[in-house]
Amino acid sequence: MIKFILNRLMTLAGLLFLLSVITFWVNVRIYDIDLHGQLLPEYGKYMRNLLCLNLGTSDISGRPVMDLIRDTLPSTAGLLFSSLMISLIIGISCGSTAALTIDRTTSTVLTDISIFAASVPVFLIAVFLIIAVSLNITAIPSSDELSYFYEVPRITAIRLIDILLTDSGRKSEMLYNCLLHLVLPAATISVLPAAELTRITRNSLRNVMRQHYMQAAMSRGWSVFYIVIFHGLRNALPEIFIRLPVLINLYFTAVVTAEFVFNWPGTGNLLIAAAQDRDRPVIMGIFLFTASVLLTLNSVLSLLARFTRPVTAEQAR
Amino acid sequence: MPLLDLKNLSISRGEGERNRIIDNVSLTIDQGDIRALIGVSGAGMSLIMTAIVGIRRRGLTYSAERYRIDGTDVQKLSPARRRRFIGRKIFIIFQDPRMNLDPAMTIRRQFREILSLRNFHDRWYRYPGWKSRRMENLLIRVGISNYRKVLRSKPGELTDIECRKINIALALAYEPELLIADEPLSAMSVSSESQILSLLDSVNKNEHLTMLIGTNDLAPIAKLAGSVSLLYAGQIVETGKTQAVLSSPKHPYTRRLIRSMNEMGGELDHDEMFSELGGIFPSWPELPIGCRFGPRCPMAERVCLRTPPAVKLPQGHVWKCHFSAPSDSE
Amino acid sequence: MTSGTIRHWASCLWGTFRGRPLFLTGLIGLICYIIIIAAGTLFMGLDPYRQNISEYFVPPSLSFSFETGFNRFIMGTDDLGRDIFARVVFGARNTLFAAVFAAAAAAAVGIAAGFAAAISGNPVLNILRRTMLFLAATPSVLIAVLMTAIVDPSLRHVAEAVALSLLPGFISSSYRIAADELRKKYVIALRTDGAGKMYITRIILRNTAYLFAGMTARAFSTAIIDIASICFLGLGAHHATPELGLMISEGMAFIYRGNYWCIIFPGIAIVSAVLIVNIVGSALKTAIRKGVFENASS
Repeated sequence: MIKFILNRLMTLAGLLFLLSVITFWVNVRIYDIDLHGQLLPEYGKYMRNLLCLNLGTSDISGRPVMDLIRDTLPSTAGLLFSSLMISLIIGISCGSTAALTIDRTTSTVLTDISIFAASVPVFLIAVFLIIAVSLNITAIPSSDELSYFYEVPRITAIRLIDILLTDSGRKSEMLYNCLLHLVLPAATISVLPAAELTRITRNSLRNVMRQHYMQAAMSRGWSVFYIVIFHGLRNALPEIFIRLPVLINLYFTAVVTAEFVFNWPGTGNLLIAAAQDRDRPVIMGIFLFTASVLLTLNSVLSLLARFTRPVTAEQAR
Repeated sequence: MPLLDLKNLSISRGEGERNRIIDNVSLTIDQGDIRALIGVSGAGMSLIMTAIVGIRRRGLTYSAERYRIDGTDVQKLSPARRRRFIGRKIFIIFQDPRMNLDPAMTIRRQFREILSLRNFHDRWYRYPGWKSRRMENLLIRVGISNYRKVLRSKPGELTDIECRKINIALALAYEPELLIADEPLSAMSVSSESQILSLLDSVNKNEHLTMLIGTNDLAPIAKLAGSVSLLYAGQIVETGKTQAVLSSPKHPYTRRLIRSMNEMGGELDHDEMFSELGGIFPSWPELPIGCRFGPRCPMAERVCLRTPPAVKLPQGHVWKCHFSAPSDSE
Repeated sequence: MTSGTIRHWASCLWGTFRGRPLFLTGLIGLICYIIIIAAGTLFMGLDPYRQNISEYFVPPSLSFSFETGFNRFIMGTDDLGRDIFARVVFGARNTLFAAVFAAAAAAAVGIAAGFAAAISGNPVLNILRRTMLFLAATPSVLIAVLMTAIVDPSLRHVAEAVALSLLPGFISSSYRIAADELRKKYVIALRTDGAGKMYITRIILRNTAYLFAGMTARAFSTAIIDIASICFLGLGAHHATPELGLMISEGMAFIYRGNYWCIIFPGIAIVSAVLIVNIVGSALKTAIRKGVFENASS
């Protein structure tokens, strides 16, 4: 058990090291830095900068990259969190329904919808939502986080929480406005992961429901809801955890695209803007930051998957 | 009044007699009795047993003329009430010992689940910690002495025989009126087999638990079971008290079975016996009409294409054959 | 290879497609798609770059007369007067070719590497595939962004980025499949009988081919989506290049004027391509599985 954790940690460390090497090499290439055979000292300097969280300064705005990230990250976090909740709830409940009503049309319909939704790229979903919703219901906005009318002091930089913390008289107005702005981006991001989750949960839960202990539990006349959640989903979770990294991939692309389309002031938007402007330090900085976060997340998920998986008889002997 | 009164249960895959996988099976089990349901693996035992507890398979039609548990007509209840009613009265244990238990839960939690949900709060042992005491006592009862370690473990970490004993302990915790066990002795060594057998026997005698045990080997069950029902290809061919059936079997299939068993010195080898008989074991979709043992029966005649009538002796010895008193020199 | 084997495969393929109406629809869709793209790019003399400044934002019209052929602009024109049908056809070709390249490259390298790691048991390869487990979730967008820092954006670089993002998934999946197969009893029997590594590789490949077919098809459809997404974000092809994602990005500004056709047609092209690839890929997977595992006489 401990060996496993150490193993994963070491692999993570190795990969992060590899990441720094790659970015170092890319920097050397871009700026045509002449090393004069001073590879190691240069690399040492680079690593020291990294560890002090100094990612350079933007070519365009002149501000340190880390500050830019710090400014934009909370907005992304807020968006990410809301869409995570939505897609988890929709995905797991739809998947469970599809698994349980396997004979009726609901199951086929749900499965087909999820397959279709998984074939549509995020930007198309965003565009489609804008057309369908924003242009018809003008109340729901299609860009930015908050209307220009409102001034909200930055405390936590998460708009919703900041609004709750101010003591302005128009708090409820601002809150409502902020939530409205959240609708489209969060909906866009949630679609693909929800579809994938539906498919994964459905398959996993179906396999579990076929097991004898599920039949035995059902025969005892207990509430179906209870059985499905406490026995069914609990055993279906390990399989779901194993497939979660794919979801992270989807999430990243979705967040970046949605921020771009809806002009949401988050890190993804920053990244794309920097890429379009060829602001190299910002690109490299955000790349490094995001890649390390993704790698760490992957390690955590694989640890979770390992721990929630019940010990099989083979492993115990 | 019998505990389980099931008359003419039929499970079909379509219309007509040939599609009836289980053909008019009747089981009447008295309180405190142990009924052994003997049949080869393909004969439909599991199907019958799961049907009794209400587990249905997709694409199959279920019908029964009468299905009463403890006097209550189960078919008249609403589906929700039926599920709860059957669930409270019957506890089923499947063939694979580990598969009966939730692999993600420790044994302690599985006990807690049964003890909490079964609603024992109206009984006298409601004091703090009664659940732990009860589960420890039950584990000791079934012969598991290292109960602390077992309670802490998950099913994957335990051996087969430990799991089988745990299943019986869980059944005891559940306090059902009828225990249904699907091949509880499959793939076990002789010593393990006798452990489980004596355990089942003592449970039946002390806790007065009625049992329906499905098996394909009559010999080990013969001492345990009070009565037997023999199942062939979805039809029950003979039912009666163990002593009566063993000493004077009436149906040709039973006679063959008992004869093989005695020849083999107490062991039953279905394959050997069937190869002697010739023919193949009928399975869907090629089910014979009328008496399904007909194609292989040495006494078969044209009349066997019609469903044979039930012949009854006093003391509940029943069999289905057109030739009611075959000569004993078979 | 006897002709009987070819007939066997042909009948398996055809049987699978005939078996489910969904598969048949997918096959027909695939054929139509290919015909449209081939005809459009090679025969019909369409020019996706030609601008007719006077005829911008012409809505789509489907009038047809035998003398002049299609009365221009089946799908309308965009803001510079370019024929959208031409752009969609050429754009689909670009996107699809790029996606094929990305998926094929990633599949070839990934499957080979994963298999080699599993069969040879080489410790270096082992470390490699362990790390791949981590990278299984590399978003292609991230790699594409990194590339823009280094080189000028182009469709080829986008394809390379997508290929790189698909690679770890292939390596770890193929390793897992090969390792599972190696543990099966028939392979162990072969090894104890003294079969050589190449022979075992061939056998395992034959038995798991259908799984790889499914993986590659899914990678192909993911590649289509990724390439379109990256170009949508402006990180890919050059401005005027016809590319489906790019067209939608450019067309977004026009929806406020009520000109939906600039984005609807590229959108339909993308979604239909992905669906067709998924359906036909699933059908191929079933067909290959049947072909390998079912009797030649059936």
